Amino acid sequence: MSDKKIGAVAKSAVIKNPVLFEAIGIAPVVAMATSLKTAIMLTAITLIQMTVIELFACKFLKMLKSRFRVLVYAVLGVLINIPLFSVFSYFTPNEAANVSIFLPIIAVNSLIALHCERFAVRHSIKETFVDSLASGMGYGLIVLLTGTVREIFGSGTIYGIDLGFKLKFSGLLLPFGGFLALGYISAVFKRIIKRLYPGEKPEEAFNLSEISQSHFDNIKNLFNEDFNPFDEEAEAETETLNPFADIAPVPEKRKKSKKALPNLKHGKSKRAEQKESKYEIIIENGENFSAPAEERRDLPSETGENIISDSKKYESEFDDLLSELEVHKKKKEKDGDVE
Amino acid sequence: MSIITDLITAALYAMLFQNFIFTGGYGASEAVRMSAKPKQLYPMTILITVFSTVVSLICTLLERINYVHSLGTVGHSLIFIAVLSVFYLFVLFFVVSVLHAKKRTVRRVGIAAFNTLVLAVPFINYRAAFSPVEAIGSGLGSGLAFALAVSLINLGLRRLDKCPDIPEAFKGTPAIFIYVAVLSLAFTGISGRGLTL
Repeated sequence: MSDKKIGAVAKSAVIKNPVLFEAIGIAPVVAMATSLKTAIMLTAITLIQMTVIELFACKFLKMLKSRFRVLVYAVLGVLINIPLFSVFSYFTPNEAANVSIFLPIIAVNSLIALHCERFAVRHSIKETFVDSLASGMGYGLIVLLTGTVREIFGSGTIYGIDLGFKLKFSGLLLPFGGFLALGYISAVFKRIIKRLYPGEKPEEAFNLSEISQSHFDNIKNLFNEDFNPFDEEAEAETETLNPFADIAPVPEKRKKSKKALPNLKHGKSKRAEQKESKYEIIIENGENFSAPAEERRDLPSETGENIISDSKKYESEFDDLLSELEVHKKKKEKDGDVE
Repeated sequence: MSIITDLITAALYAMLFQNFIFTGGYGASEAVRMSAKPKQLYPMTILITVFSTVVSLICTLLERINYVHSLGTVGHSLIFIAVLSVFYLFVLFFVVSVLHAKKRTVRRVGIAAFNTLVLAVPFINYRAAFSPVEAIGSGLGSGLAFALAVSLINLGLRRLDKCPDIPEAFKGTPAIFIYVAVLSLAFTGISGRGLTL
């Protein structure tokens, strides 16, 4: 590999570090990298697993659908991990026994699936190999650093050798220590990147632009006055149509609501509906204009919202009463003629 | 009555006291990344809950077979991944053929199935020798734990995103990791694990 390529791999491993700036593959780092020995184990397993799976995906899985590829990555991961784990069990039996639960967990490392899907299935073998090395090395670097820091401060040892520290922060060996170490390591890396590569912005890898697009807003709005889960406009209409109810002024917000349109048709005669389609009330700068539907396009509108106002509602209601009265009158007259 | 009590206790324990994301770090990547884009939290939580509950139950039932129970970690790993793979194919078939889901949703099924949280649950059940009812509770609880973790991280991220006092080097993922570390410490305290191993 040329010097230029090595430089590119090193730069990619640092600036585009998957753990520090993309928050990928955190679980094994936090749970497993508690000492240098386990960190070496995790680095070696991840690097080998990543290279093999990425190359396999590049060579054979391009034709397979994405939904089936993720299954292959997981199964392949376990199959690769088993012999590797046996090798480590032979050399470091105590550490291997401690991390045995993480064996399948490393197999479903999100780092591998993400890199295979993002890169391996879209590029050539050569490019995939370089990517797997770069991301694997970047991941390994963080694992080793985290493991070393946690072992020094948490156990007071390095590679099992006692450093003679009197004060040990054993809490660092718990997952919270892993998150804390990752936080400080990523801050140091950011500082270094700013100095060495001033043009690069590693923080952009973790996009926070959609942070507020949450389902929780709906729940939160339940306690907000503006939230209208049961169509309050409809209820307001029922209230105003009730002759025994007090007529209260309808708030401006409700007046402008488009949702009010279908509810107004409730309980109207055909004549009123025909008239309503012919005429439309437009609110323009707080004033109401009544105009035929054909002409309404010519009227100036700043907001672009054409809605039916309350006066229209009363007008159509009055028409209803009139038509009913007429029908009743005709019926009476007819009855009188017969008599 | 005792079945319901066992179920609820196991679920609450997995969700609140032994939140696998904070006290174990399982599914931490998915939780942190989802907290930045929480729009799809509900479908993702449902999928993770389904996978963790069903896989957890099947694996616990398989443990009752003497041959399976006598297997070591490697053997259990193979069985757990095999159960997860078969169930994934079943869910995939259901989502694609019956529900006619969009491509994006189908892709999400894979993320929900093959993550450290779903696979950690049967291992924890196996080590704790949970009964089938407790295994269901544990699976349900881990799904809810995921939702709780994502919402807690999301709430923190919103404040961190607007906070002007964070030093430049700590903006972005460093602040997120430290915030998650504080949450993790809090949950470790609730679980009563203490700081000595």
